[in-house]
Amino acid sequence: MVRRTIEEINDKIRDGSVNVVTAEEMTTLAQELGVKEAAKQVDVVTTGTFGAMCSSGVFFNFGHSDPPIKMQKVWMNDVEAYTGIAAVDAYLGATQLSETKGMEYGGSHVIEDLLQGKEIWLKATAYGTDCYPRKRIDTSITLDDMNTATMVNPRNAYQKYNSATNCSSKTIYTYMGTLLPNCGNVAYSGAGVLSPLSNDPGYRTIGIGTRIFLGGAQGYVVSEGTQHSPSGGFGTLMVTGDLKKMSREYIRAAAFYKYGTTMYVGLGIPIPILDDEIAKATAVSDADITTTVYDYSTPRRNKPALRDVTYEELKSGMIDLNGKEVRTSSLSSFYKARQVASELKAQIKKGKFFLSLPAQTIQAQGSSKPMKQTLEMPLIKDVMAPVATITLGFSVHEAAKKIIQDKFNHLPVVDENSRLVGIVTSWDVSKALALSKSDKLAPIMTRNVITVAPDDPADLAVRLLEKHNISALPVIDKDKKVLGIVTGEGLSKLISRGVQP
Amino acid sequence: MKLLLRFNPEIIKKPIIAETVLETGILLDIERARVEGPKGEIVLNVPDDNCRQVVDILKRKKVDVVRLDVPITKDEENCVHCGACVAVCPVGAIAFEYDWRVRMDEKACVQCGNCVTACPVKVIRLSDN
Repeated sequence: MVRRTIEEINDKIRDGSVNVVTAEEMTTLAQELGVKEAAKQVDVVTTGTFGAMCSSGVFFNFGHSDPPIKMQKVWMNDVEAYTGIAAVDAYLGATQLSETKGMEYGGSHVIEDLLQGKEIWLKATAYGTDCYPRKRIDTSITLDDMNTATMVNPRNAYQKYNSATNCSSKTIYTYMGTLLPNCGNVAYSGAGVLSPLSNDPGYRTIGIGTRIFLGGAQGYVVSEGTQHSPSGGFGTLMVTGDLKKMSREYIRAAAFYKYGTTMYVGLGIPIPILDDEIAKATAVSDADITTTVYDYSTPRRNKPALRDVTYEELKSGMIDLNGKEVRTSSLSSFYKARQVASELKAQIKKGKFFLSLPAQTIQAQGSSKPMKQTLEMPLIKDVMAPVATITLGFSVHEAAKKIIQDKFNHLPVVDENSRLVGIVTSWDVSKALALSKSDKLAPIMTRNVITVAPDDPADLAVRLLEKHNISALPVIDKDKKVLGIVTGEGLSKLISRGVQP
Repeated sequence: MKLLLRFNPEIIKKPIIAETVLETGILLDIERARVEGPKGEIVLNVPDDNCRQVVDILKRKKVDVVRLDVPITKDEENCVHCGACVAVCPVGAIAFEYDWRVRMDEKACVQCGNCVTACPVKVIRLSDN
């Protein structure tokens, strides 16, 4: 039974005799020699991850201008930072978007520009007070010009993450990247075997005050992260470090198409092998870490789960989904995660990085709650209207009669089993009649119909009508039977009644 | 050899590709086709040996022909090798190497552009021929 203290390990780092391996190497070593022998040989295991961590940002102190200003609103390269703190401090979040460049440029890009030594344009407005009379400032500033630039990332280092696919018939653009229609691909994130928290799931060595590798510099764990949910394997950490000491090698701005900006953060945590139990935890392999594939085309909190999957399967590049081979690829970089773990290993070996025990442990149990919603949310079934349907075999002429008779602009088309197969609008019908084009419905109907379910929230209908630039959505049940219709007009009535969709 | 063909409004309604296949007997593989308003673009894959012959005929039919030597490029220095581009590639032209670097097989690329939009760090570009 191995027993070591942090002091003993730090002494070994000091005299250069420390034995450090990466989490990947530890897994192999433990498989070859057994955990007990591996624990004897290894003093420290280094982990690493390099993923898109939306919850990242930097507290800046810009220094005082003359005359001084108490910044009420501040923009860095047209990206707004939060100023509800002291006069010339602001917090810039990675996902805040530029007011002029939109989704192409955000807080993370400002941070990357600063790391590259670029000048950024600082603009602030204020209401003016006796001690802070100035109402506006415009200046160009570099990272060197700031007094402090302290990175504080409220939720980083996810222990593992959901993997995502898209069961709908249209491509969707998400924070899990581009998801092709009909489960065309699976996207996953997380470093698996190298993931810091997966190597110490009991949080024995990772806690408040643990010294970590953050963005190329030495940083610290502040506390458990927001939305920390360790019981389900979704632990997170709040971390901090000095941006001025970081490097673009480990901090990179990112923009997910039609989603927004985020930041890739290189984060590594050294795990001291204090006993066999910790050694066993660090011997975890990709095959031991399981996550779930969810259908991200359901824009609800609870998405349909398709299957459980291990990181080993995900990393193989292909998984089986409902009998179909689907290609998988990651969003976080395993190549860079390895670089983080290796760099941390090198720093420890060179005596440049010493280990620390937590000042206080963090919760190893518990899960995050969903939001409490007090206002009743209208559902599709509350706002839908009845609608007539027409069977596919009928003619355009009959469709026209039906539209006039029932006073609808939209006519869902169903097959002989009353399942939705298409939709025609009064415009489609008029056009076909005017051009005397065809007497059959099939050629004039839209087949790719966007639909909603009765238990979907009304907000979803608003989003879909806007996104696809359409005026109505048939409401269907699980068997594709038409239950009603939601129109833009119907939703407007709802708003005029003062109900918030 | 990949060729980018541009069709102007004058010729867009003519069955030029079909004519070329009939005239030459060469199998032309259409990898991508896009029609926007009165103009159209097609990416063809032509057997290397017959390329000259096909280009001559297409040019005679007033098609603007550009050779796509390098259909797509990736800025290696700035790539973080995340893999967001890998599984969205419909032809498997992008893959992880043994060390988890992301590598592109330019020859297999059909210029669909999926990877260009999927790249979070904007290091992939279609060559603008």
